[in-house]
Amino acid sequence: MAEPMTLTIITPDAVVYDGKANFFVGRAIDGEFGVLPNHAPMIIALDVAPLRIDDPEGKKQTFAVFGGFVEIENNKVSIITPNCESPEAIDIDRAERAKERAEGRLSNPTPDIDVERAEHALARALLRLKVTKRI
Amino acid sequence: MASAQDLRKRIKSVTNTQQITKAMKMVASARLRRAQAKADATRPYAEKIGQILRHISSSDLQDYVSPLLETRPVKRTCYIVIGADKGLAGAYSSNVLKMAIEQIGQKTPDEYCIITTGRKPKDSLKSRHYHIDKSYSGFSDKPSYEHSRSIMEHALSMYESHEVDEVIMIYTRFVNSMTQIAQAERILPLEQPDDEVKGEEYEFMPDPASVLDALLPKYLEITLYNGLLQAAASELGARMTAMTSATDNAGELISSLGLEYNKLRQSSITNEISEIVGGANALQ
Repeated sequence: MAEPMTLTIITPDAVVYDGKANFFVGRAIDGEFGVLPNHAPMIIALDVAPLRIDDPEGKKQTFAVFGGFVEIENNKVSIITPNCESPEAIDIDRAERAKERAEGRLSNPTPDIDVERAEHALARALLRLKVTKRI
Repeated sequence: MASAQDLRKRIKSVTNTQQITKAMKMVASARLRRAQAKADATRPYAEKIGQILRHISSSDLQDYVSPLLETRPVKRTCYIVIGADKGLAGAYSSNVLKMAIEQIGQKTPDEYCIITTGRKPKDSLKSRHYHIDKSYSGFSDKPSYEHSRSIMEHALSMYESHEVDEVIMIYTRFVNSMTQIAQAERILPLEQPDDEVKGEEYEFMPDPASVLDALLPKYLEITLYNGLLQAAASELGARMTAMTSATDNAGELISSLGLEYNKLRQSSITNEISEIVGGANALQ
């Protein structure tokens, strides 16, 4: 097996993850992708979606990634995202409430509702619930 | 001439004030350290975003020009004025205000639009009869990325709907706790970095244009976030310096009042003694 890649997840406030990985899977704005070590240099625009990292010990970790980018060079992967949450850090009740609120707004839209914003809120809430395996 | 009792009262009140300013100085310096650490923590993110932007600029975009990079004739300018919520920070607020007024110049309300963060710039611009489009407050010394995102969302929507043709951020750059520089920076339209990057050619997924479209708002958000963090550190630095000198001044005042009080006390004792001695002498 090839040498594992170095993977870091960087958010504006901190470096959330810094370690080795044998494989990771995420969703770009045009569909899912997986990356193995020694990938060619690449820049990927991420969607609001779960990101799974398989580390060399065989442990699989899932993060909620709220958009951002992946940069791959020399077997080094940097995931640059405005926000990244691990399943343990997610407040499930809050996500449920956010989902209901956003769905309510989208099902009977009134002129003062920003539809785009509600859609974003719904996508974020669904992602949070998905990585905590509630849906 | 003040009486001894007046002086005692005065000394007591100055001592109380000194205690307050000392406490505020301590609070500001502790928060300043935190704010600086936060500003340092955003650096890797900002550097990476900048790096990706440069990679895209040097790749083949097939004549795609993002609207955010397009320079158009400026009919209306949006100013984002970043200031403090609270005072007691020396010249900090007035420097930001001066910079904002200088930038706005003689423009009429049709030619400018103002977004403020922090209560101070909002109040002082309002009292000078400037029209304020939107204001945010409550986070001047502890901004989060979320704040920057919502401010930028508002500014971007105005820019994209051609309501404004230019966005300028007025903030205070933190040099050290003694020096903070108020400055204006144009953040929209963006300037395309033209320095060539060395190294390998990157592939883009899905394609350079879509990555660029996703990247530019993020770049703006982090630029604004950096401005907010710099301003927060500057505010705390200015407050710390102001409170340090206030504490020193109070100390000086206390010692000169103490001297005056002791002089007064001594002269009254001397007076009493000479009266007693005079009385005793008269009895002989």
